[in-house]
Amino acid sequence: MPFYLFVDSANSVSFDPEYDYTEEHEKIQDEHRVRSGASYIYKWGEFSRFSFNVRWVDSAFRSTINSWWGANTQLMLQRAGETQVFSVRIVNDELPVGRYERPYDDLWMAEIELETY
Amino acid sequence: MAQDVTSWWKEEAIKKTLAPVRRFMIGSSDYSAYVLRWPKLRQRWDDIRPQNVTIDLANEAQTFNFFFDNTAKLNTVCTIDAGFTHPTSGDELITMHQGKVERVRWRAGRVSLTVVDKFQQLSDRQVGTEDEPVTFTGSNYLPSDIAWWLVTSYGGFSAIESATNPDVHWSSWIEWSNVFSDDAVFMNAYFDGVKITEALRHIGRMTRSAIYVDDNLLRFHRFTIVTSPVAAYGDDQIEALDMQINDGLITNKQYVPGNFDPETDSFGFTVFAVDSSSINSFGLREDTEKDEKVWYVTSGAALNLAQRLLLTNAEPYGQFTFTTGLHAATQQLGDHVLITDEFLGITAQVYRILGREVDMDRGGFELEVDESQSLNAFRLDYSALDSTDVLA
Repeated sequence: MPFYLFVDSANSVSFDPEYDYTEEHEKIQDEHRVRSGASYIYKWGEFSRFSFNVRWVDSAFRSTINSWWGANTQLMLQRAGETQVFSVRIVNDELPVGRYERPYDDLWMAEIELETY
Repeated sequence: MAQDVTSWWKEEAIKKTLAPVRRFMIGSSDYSAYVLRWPKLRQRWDDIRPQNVTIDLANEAQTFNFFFDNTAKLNTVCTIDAGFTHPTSGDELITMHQGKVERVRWRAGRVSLTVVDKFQQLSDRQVGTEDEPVTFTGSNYLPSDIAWWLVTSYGGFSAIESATNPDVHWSSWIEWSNVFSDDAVFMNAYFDGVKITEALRHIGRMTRSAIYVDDNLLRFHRFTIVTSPVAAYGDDQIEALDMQINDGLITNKQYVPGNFDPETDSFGFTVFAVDSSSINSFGLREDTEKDEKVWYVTSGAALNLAQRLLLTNAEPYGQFTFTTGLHAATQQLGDHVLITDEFLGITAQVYRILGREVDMDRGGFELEVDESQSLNAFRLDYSALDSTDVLA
């Protein structure tokens, strides 16, 4: 099932992530446990994290993803067939697409980490 | 004195699962999304000084460099609000702190913004000089009138004598003033170049008054009788509770000198009040409360303070500090609350909030309460009449 990562309809990439695709969700909250044992939770916010590998991507994909990573471009992530859209950024510490896909020198492998903002 | 909020807000604050809202405004612009760490806010009834809070903000996008580009922006009013989002009417927020930027610190991609409340204006100005002191000695003055002239004529606060005063909480000042006029409490004063906040500290100490900024208004209170509690705290609200009794605070013979003469550096009279029962129980403990900046001009007024101090300090009293969550969000300094602690044998005992710390990052509150500033008619050793050991 393909995913779409895009700025707008004219600037987008599509990809099929590997089976290591992981979706995480983190809440920003504080818990106050009182003496009776009751718990009070104050949720201040939440965000999602997506991490996955993509294989055999071409140089156009590489160029677009690496450019978005370098500029911290605000992107949208959507899975084909679903209506939910996530506002994300590429948050990799290192360049996302930087390794050849052996034995090719014109195809690459990508390790991408996204977080909502 | 509890914050004026809707009943919906009060019901929200005590729920077990909440999504509170915090807002940080610089002028009319909302910068809440940039806050990395929300500040702690501290207040004590007898701590008459500017309150500053520091907020850490994300500046990777150079958002706050405008303070460096245009330093006049430091004079912008900043506001920290907190509350909840009503499902139909939107955000209902209360102001937790308001003030102007005192300091901006840039470090890597972060900015630390220190916002100081309007007490700072009184700390920036002084009254009198050594060679030209300002004296309030030509007549007998109510302490409240001296304070009013200090903050308006010398401090630059508005002198509007109504609820529209943007700097002084008019009704609290009127109530405070009535306490002194009803008891005929008159003072003189001599200021030779002290800061306005320092002068207010002298008045606050010699009248045992609370002077503090809340909701961006300067408030005055001389706490008197117990009022209706605004909240009850027990095991369902308290996370942790400390109590102490301090024998060192006991005073059972209180001296208050008056009629100070700045020319001769001497006082014209000294009155004292005695609590014999306390002396019999704890031995003689003497103390003198004197001041060479503000002083009483009648023995009756000085005795008023001496007796008040004995009411508070003749017997040791429990001082409580406890932590809780948003239950305390609407309570302010001076409010009375009920405390129940089975282990300490306290059942619905009334105490006054004299200190308050708000952790806006965690949504936690730490309250300091005791009965020292809750004057009751008299105290029974044992109460067979009610559970509070006080005949109210």
